[in-house]
Amino acid sequence: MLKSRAFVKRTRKGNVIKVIKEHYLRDDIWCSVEGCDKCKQEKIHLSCNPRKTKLSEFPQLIIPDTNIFLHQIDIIEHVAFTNVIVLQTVLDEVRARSLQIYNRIKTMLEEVPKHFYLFSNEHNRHTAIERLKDETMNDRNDRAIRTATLWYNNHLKSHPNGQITVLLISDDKDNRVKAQQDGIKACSMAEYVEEIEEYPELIDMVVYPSEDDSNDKKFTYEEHMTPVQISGGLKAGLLYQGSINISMHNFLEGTIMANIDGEETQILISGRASLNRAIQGDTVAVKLLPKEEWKTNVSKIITTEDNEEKVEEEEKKEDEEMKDETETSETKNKDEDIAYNEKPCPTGKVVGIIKKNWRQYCGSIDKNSVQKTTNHNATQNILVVSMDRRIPKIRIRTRQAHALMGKRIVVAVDSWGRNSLYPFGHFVRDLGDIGDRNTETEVLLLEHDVPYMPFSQQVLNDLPPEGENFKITDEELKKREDLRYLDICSIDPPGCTDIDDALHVRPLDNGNYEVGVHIADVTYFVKPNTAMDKEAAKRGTTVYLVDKRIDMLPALLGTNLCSLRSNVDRLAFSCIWELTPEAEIVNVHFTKSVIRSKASLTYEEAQNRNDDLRMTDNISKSIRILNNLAKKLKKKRINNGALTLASPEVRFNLENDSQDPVDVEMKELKETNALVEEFMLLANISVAKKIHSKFPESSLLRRHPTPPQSNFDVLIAAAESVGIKLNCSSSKELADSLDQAVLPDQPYFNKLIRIMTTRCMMQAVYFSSGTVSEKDYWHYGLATEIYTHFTSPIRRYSDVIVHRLLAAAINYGEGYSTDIIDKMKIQKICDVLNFRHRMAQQASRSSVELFTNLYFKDRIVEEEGFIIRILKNGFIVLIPRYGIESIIYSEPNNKTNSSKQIFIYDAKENKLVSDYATLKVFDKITVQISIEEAGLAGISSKLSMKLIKPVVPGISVESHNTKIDDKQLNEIDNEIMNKIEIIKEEEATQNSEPPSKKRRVA
Amino acid sequence: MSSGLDLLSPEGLRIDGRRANELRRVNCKTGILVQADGSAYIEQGNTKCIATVYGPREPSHKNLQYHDRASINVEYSIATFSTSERKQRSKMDRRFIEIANIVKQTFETAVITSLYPRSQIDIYLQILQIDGGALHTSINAATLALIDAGIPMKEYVCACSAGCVEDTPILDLNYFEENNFTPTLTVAVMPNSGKISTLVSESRLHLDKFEPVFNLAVSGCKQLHSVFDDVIRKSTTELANRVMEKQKE
Amino acid sequence: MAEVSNKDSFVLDANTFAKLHPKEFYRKFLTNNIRPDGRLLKKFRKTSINLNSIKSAEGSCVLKMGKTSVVCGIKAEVAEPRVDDPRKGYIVPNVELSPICSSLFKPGPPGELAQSISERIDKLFKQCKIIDLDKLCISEKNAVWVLYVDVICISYDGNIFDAALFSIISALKNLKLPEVTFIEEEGKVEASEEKTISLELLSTPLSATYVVFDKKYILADPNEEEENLSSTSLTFIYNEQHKLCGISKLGGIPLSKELIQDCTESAIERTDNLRQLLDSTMKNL
Repeated sequence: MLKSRAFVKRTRKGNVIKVIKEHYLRDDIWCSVEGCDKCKQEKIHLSCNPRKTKLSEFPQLIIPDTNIFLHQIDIIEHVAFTNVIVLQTVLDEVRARSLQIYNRIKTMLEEVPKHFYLFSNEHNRHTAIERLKDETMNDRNDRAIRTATLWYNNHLKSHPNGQITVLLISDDKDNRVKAQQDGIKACSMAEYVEEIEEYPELIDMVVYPSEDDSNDKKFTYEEHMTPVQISGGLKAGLLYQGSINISMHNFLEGTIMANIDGEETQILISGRASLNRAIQGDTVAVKLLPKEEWKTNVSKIITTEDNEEKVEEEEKKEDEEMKDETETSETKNKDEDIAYNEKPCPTGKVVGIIKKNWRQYCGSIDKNSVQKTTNHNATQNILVVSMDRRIPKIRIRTRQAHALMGKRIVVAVDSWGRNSLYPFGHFVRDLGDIGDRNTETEVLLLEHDVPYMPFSQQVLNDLPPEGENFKITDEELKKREDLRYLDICSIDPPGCTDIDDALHVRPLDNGNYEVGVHIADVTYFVKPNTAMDKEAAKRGTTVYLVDKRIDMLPALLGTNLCSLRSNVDRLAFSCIWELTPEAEIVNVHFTKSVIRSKASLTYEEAQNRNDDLRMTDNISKSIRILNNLAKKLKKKRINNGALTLASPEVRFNLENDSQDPVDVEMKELKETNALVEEFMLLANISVAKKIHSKFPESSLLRRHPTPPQSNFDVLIAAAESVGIKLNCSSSKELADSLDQAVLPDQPYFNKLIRIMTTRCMMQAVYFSSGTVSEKDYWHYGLATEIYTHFTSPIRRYSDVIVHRLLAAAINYGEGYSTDIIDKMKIQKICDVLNFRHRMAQQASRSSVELFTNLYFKDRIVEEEGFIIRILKNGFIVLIPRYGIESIIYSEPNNKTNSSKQIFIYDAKENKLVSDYATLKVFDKITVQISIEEAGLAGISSKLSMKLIKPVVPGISVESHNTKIDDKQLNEIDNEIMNKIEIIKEEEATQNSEPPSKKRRVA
Repeated sequence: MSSGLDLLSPEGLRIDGRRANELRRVNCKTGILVQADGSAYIEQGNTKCIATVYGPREPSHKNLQYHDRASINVEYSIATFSTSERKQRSKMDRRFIEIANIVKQTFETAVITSLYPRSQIDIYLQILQIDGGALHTSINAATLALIDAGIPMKEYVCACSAGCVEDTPILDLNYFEENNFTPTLTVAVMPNSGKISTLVSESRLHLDKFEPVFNLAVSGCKQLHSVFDDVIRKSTTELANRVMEKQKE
Repeated sequence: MAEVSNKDSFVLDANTFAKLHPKEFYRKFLTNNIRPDGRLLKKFRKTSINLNSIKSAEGSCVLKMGKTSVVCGIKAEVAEPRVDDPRKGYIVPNVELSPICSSLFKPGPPGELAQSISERIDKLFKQCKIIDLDKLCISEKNAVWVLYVDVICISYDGNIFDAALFSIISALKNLKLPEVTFIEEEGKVEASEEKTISLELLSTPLSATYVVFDKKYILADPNEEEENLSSTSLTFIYNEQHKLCGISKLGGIPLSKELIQDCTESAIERTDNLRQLLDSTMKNL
């Protein structure tokens, strides 16, 4: 049966057009309830035995209305909610209002145990309704929901297993009243959730439509502009749009990047009133303040724990001081005298939020906000402080206030009204005790949005059924080159189980060498659009934490079937060059192959074979040839301008990020590390060229944008202050300058400056070749014109895509998925991978921070450090031995006499001056490291550093042992090392595989 | 790009409620205009087309005259009010000339032109409302009009469009689906012999997906054929009855 | 077929006679006060209309007047008003005669007949206040409705002007415009999904056309053949108050005043009938 739907739409040009759509009504849309004898359905989604509550004598299926999905999505995702009918009307409305929630509903629809069913009520002949005259769309939709509910009720009256009724859940009182009139049972979410006794935490998760802001001080924010006003303002150029970034050091200060007069400039937004309820990541509309109110960009450090009133008072005082300064310095030329970071920065205020970026936040309860009552189950309003320092405190209502103190919890934000100092939210779930290693690890995984749940059954079903006994079939052998006769070996860190690369070399008759790089053939096992592929795409990369590794692919593949273990046949994707003795490429070809690695060596073993000339077996000879070639390749790269920020000791520090922070042994990187690295780089470059030639639009490549000169300003200034000149105009100049940046009396200086240079770099990103012009493919750090990731498909999804592209490029197989030739799809994948990559790095760093805190728990240590940054109220110190850095304030926290300052900040020369000592960047000092329970809120144990030398009364502390000699230091080190070994052993027995320490190629 | 609507819902329904392999509702009638030698009106979903056939008659130009067969001349025009947004199109629009050409070539082989040398058969197509699928509707209308005019043809020519959404082939696309970067394939088939008369595709379609889409389009054509056949037979029976009655008088 | 039976008589059958001596053929009928198609001299052909069949147009009408069929579609667009009249919307009528309706018309740009009819209708709209153009204004100086009225002839059998005018008036009466408001800040128009407004016609002028044959016979509602054979044509346009809105006699043989006045009554009756037909069709919708 055919009906027609007409509606009016507005086109972009401002024209109004009529759009007509056909609308067919069908007879074959079934109820999808198990056991129903009236319906001829094929797939059954709803069980015939849904939950029974006191609200009805029969078991009930649930139909939530649109607002329930929009506001209470967290409860619906809870395990307790099953057997839900999602109406097409409701889903369409949700999609129009929030794409995020729409996607979450779609995920739930696919989860079989949740028993969710999408009922197309708009197309079912019995439940489709037309809009009545003078009925608004909202009323019509509500009526459609009630009609569908009624139909289900009648339909299931005579179910063979017993009557099943349907419950309509709606927070709209009107809707419920009308439903009762129609004979449908309806209730609000709160009423329903109270009946679910097995899960009492659900009651806390209910979002109440009204806010409770009685506890707040009298604070009113400015009203937000309407969307129409905002778009008008943007068009007229009076407002600027951008994504707000709150400063890590000062939660009341944020910046957005906006295009003012054609230039990308940073707009500062300072103060609670200016921020006007914007939360980190929101897309906001900003209005510039008049020039007189522009602030300077000098950083001050404020955290959420500081007494906020005090902070604001100080800020006001600063503003007044600034005004005095500017007034008195009329005659001077302001730009010359004020140091670069005192120049007033464009400042603005938020006038509207265009798109909210609210998510779930991990945090813990602010002890001060909990009222001490005798009734432990009373509902109270309490504040939750987030782990992410940039998020304001969140107010929630809960009954479990006392039970949750000292625990890590997850909360979600619901609203932030004008009259409320803090945003209002609700409790989602409890993660465990503060300080417990597993809880804290879970917190940091959640905060970095790392998918860490174990692989679902659907994913495991995609593994080969023979499991460990998988054998390569003859059919497969025929399609590949048989390279099992080659002397292939692999070189990896000790204890490595996921071997994804192997090498070989053979001298040729014409004097050249045949060199081959063989990479694990992951795409044979991970086929496109399978559950395992989708999960890997979602994870994007393997995440390395200190004690854990969150795998991208199931272990069976990663450590067994794909891993190129020795003495066993394995599938591989080979890249084989003919190289001259000077390491020039004569030709290259790519092929799918079967290999049999002859030896899995560690770096040390390989180095020994290289050095020991008595070993004359093929593998050893190969290693020597490869080593020579690698050295020549490296030389060429350096001449081109490749940066070696990854110099041996610095590499160690960076590698530190993935190992134990107190691994004091400074390993010398051997030649064999460089050997593998060089050939991996060469393979990546060759593959990039090949796939780009075949797929110029949709190749997945990696680029490293040249950092803008301004990134280096701070560094150049700091280097100048110690008499070193850095030329940062090109990567070659920079590399050469760094090589010459040596201070004879400070041996660590060169490493220090390399570390700081790393921080000036841009992030390398993945991109789809068609989205960027060819000159932008440049990789700054490696100084190569084109680059991609090919050599680690076990731990990076980008490599999986590149494998598929390369297989298509060499015409292997029966065909390839069309997704890889779609430039926009590839770009979307790149965006996800870039995000995941960043999050994985941050998660690793947080994990290190966590472990550092844990290991320093009962210890106070004194150590040498270097100042790497000077701020107005403190300085940042880097401890190279442990690879940690922290802030030391230049004013003690509990100063009584606010007028007496110990350190005076000299803006011109960027130093802190006191009567006893002057502190500048690169100064070597001695500090005391300990763990401090931050007084007020008891949130987390924080690493605290205190100055010992140079001695400045009021700031410095006494050193515990006035003289610590190296012998004692070594003893302490050994003690620590032993403890670490013990813990590592414990964990090794707990987890079957220790974390693999993989080399990371840029 | 689409306004965010799924072209295919998780339950397998398209935006108008059809399943992937279902045709839109078809409505057709022949002999609506007495002036013309043959005429037909066809509605496929919301796409409405009138076809009129004049001929065989004196050719309008000397160069259109072939000594051994009839020449076919096709004119195609779209009413300005036929789309949601009014578009003024000139008759000389290249798009129209191209479509007219496609239709012309389709029928040059289907019509037994050798029976009418030195004459011209004119086919005029007027689209009154478009909701996707203008080309195949025009071909179908022309077939019916030619049959109504009594011009001998080897077989029916039935046309249908098909496309592909995320690996699922869908049949008979409407305007919304056509405009969403869905690769579209229009196929005209002579159902009895199974020979392909016309195949038009102007978007990129992966070779792997070509076969299922093509097969779906052909099955759609066959379905249309049975509908048209019914209609033609009914109207012919009526005509025959009337003639017989007249003769009785 | 010509049969030559004997030298003296020459008998032709009707159809051949009609082709060879059309005027004589007609005279034979007219002397008996009837026309070859069976109509009385002042009888108009059977007219039928079908409204709202083209859903993509805001208003539409399919009209059949004997064998003449036309389709009229009205599209409404939002545009900036003309500078001289910032408060008025405007109407753009257009009549298309394409080869589809008759072999008389060649493909290509609109011919004389189509253009002249379009022009006459345009003038009629401008001079006879059919629609209050102020009602088409959305926001003064910023946005007004423009109505594009397109008439396509599908089958041509004479009297295209009457058919075109009647179909336009019917489609206009049936027009449903969405309710829109103009938003200052955005400079754009916002349409309401649910409400539509119809247009009130201030007057409904309809026409009746006659041709003159042999200087004495007046034939109402000529078909194509009659148009070709006649010496002049005469069109009366009356509105619902029986006031004369327009009269045109474009050249041709001179006529006497009495002859012209003779037609007026019949014209009024005809236009009333058409109006009744339109009203009853609209009620049945």
